[in-house]
Amino acid sequence: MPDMMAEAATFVADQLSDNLSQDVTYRRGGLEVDLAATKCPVRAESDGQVNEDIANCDWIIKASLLVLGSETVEPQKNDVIEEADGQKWQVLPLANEPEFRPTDPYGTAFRIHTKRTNGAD
Amino acid sequence: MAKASIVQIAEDVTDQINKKQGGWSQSFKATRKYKPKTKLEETDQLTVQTAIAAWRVAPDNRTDWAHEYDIDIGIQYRDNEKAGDQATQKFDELLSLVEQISDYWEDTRPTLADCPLTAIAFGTGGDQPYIPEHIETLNQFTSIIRLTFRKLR
Repeated sequence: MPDMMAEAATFVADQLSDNLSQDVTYRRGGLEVDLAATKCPVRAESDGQVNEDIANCDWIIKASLLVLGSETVEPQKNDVIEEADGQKWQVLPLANEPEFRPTDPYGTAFRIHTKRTNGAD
Repeated sequence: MAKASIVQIAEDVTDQINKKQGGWSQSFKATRKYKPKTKLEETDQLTVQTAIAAWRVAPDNRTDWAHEYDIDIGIQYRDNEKAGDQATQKFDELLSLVEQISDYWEDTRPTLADCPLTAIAFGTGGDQPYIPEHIETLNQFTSIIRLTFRKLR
């Protein structure tokens, strides 16, 4: 009997990727791939210790799209997601959470935590 | 109108740091802020800010009150994504700068606005020369040097 939850997770990930995404460049060192990524709302926060403004944004990317150097990979700290307008989002952990997590128990997609490191061109 | 002692001290601290430009291992311009403010997008440039941090008053004797004024010097820098949190050489250089600035105040031990320097501390209370959490979550070196000046009034 098919796992209906797994099918549902795949359906949701496909819908997000096909209909609620934008084209971005995902970069690690000298490797990069153009892929569809769903941008979650940007959260502005201010670091309480030194009053530093930080723009946080999560991205949802289908695991099967994240291919660098012909290998399917997991996100890594310091990877960069670049938007068409030049905004760069660096993959960085949160204070209480690693830099990414699977969106479901099946690893269909990744929710990736990033912070903006430059403005738009 | 005369400035409040703590304001004069903060201004003098900033001036002294900037007057020594060329004498530091790295170039920067310190700016005085009432509330330090930076953006993550801007700390790829070395940023140095000074600010009033605290003002404590306690009785010293039967007639005088001891006023202690804390001034913070904040130093921030973030390397690019290639180096990330492994920018050891750059972070080493920044710690050297922190030591130079601290040494400067130790060596000169100035009296500013009639208030002698009485203490130098690091961090916001934990004696840390930099904030480890910023290395982990921002790839950023953040250091705070706190100068304490004292005056009987």
